[in-house]
Amino acid sequence: MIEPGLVAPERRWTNLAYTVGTTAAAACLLVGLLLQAAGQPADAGDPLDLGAIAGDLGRLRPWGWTMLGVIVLLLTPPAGLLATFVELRAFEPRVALLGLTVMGVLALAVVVALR
Amino acid sequence: MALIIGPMAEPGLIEFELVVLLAAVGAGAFGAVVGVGGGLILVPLLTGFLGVDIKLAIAASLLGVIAVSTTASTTYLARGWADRRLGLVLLVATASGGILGGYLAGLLDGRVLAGIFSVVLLVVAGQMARRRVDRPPPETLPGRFEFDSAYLEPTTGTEVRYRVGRVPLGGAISVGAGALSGLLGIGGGVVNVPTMNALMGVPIRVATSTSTYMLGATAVASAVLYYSRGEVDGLLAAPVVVGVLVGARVGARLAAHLPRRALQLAFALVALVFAAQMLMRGMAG
Repeated sequence: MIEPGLVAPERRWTNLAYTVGTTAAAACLLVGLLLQAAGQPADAGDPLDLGAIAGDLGRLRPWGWTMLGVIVLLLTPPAGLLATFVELRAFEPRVALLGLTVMGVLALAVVVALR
Repeated sequence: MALIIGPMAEPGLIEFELVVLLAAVGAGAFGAVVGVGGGLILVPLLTGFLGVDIKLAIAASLLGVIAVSTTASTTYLARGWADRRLGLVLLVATASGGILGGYLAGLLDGRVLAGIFSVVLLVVAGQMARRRVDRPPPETLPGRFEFDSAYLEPTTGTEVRYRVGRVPLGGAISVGAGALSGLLGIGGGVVNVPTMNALMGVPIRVATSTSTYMLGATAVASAVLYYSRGEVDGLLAAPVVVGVLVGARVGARLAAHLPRRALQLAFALVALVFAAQMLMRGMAG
């Protein structure tokens, strides 16, 4: 019998975050590829201009859809970490805090990136 | 911003993306079968054979690493093979290293990155060529920061208990693994798995599963830096991510039916060719 705490008993939300995030990202990337195959213009824009990406989505342009896929993919592991924190905070608070710490490191990466 | 994928991209972008897709499927499948991840194969393929700028190739490879990690982790977490406590401890280190690697990649010339990549390929080729003996973890592990854990071994149906030791040293090495991942767009499992298994006393199944769990967040830490520098191209990332996901799934299914040892030797040979090619690229500019 495995003692409580040795193996994390709750993984549902983390798995859900990973599954939804990866599936959504892959779907957006696939839509971008299909739009490109359909002959839609594939002009690239500034990846930091979220307005341009959103505009491309409405105009069914491949670049905007693929960049949306990239952004969703980048957000998936942090979403998994957040889910881990929610799952574990009640019975493994120290491990849950580690999840938050990793999120802090990822936030630092964003700060360095935007600097 | 103009399309910056590479020289082959301009005349026939759709054909180019189809080739990238096929290359990513192959890299994902081969990587999954020999257990090295697709990045080590994909980056040389993209740069050497398809003319993609090395930083764009690395960034796209990092996105592939994230996708494979989050997909495979759902299985490993559900089966209890990925040790989240260990993974999160080491993730603090690998993600920090990922920032360092991603930052350094922005400072270094592409030729230098190609040179470093060739050295790593040579090391991994050497690892693959040697017959690997799975040694049992050391029985006594010194140090204050150790903890116990357990998992259910599917081949025997028994619970395996283990003690994770040498956490500070493992963490220090993990910073390097993260930096290497961010610098070259590879998963980092080539460093993480031996560190956890041989140094920290973690059973090999848990070490590989936990490493896979860690790769996604580690890659995010560096990928955001590539993104901010405009080195993430969605039109390159799309075939890479979709291809690597499909390839990794195919490779995982094929792995049980293929001669792993022969494939490892084949990988060593391919890695040698890629290393020579990257080295020449690094020297030629």
